[in-house]
Amino acid sequence: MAGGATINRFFNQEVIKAVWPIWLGYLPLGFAGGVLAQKVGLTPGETGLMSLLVFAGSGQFIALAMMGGGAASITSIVMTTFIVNLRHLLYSSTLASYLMEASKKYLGTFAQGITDETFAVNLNKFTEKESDWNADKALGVNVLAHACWIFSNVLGNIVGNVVSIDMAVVSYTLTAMFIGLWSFHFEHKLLIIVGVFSGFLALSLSSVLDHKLHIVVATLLAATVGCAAESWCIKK
Amino acid sequence: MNSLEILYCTLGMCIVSYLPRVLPPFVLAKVRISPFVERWLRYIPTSVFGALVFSEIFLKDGMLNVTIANINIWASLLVLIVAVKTHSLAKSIMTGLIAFWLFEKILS
Repeated sequence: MAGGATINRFFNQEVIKAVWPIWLGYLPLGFAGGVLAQKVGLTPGETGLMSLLVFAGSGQFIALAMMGGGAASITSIVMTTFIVNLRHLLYSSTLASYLMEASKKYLGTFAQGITDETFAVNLNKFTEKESDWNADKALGVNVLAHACWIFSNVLGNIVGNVVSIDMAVVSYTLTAMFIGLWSFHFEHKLLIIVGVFSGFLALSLSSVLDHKLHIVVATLLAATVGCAAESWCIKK
Repeated sequence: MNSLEILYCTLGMCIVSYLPRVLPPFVLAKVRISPFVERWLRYIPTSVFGALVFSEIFLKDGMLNVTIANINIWASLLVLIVAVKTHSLAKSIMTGLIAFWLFEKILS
């Protein structure tokens, strides 16, 4: 049963419990992505390949919209994807401190699974009180979320014309998940204030910074301000 | 776009998506993280979530949407209350979905 034990390291009840909210969001969202891809002219195979190799919700949606528009060059689509996905740099750096002992092969595999959602869930599991979350379980979350993303994209591409879904409700699933995960970080007042401050910052920056960059800049600024406020409170 | 162009485009997107994901752990493994950076990192999660949540709730197609008709706001208040009271992600999401769906029905 050695094989079964190995599998359990990555995929166990705890991992499923952590990943299901992502599935709930990815199934309809990926489905919608598949429908869009089909409309733009991608085959189920091409949709599956893109979901496997790129694995980025907003990145893929924007790229598909640009492909459909007809005017965009490959270079401009790739550059846009790069900018939209730059925020993963922040996520990957944050998670790196929990994965110091992991092998290169592991890190290479884990990296491909980093998204807004898997980052949020894994970070929460790592920072929980008395957490026994580890690299293997985190990888399990990434792989299962990724598998769901590929599956739902391909499914949407194949049967998209037959079913209609309410996109507003769909995208709200992930918003609700982010709110829940955020609230679990409300350990003291300063953390709440910094988060809300970051929110307002993101809104004001959104008019000047395109492609989700406002998330990155707001985060970096707010965290710096939080740090400074902490030192100031201690000194007082 | 023909299928060869789609393939090139996908491969290009793959490379530029993978690099920001994979480089940090390899670069950071070589440097010692200072106590200051460590403290700074503690403020990253709440900042990321704040920025994401506010954007999801108040931005629609890149435009600010702060009106009573923005269902996101009302559903999110309910989700926040449930999340803080129960500490359960499942209950929070379910509350959000049901609330959003109901508000949408009422307002349409």
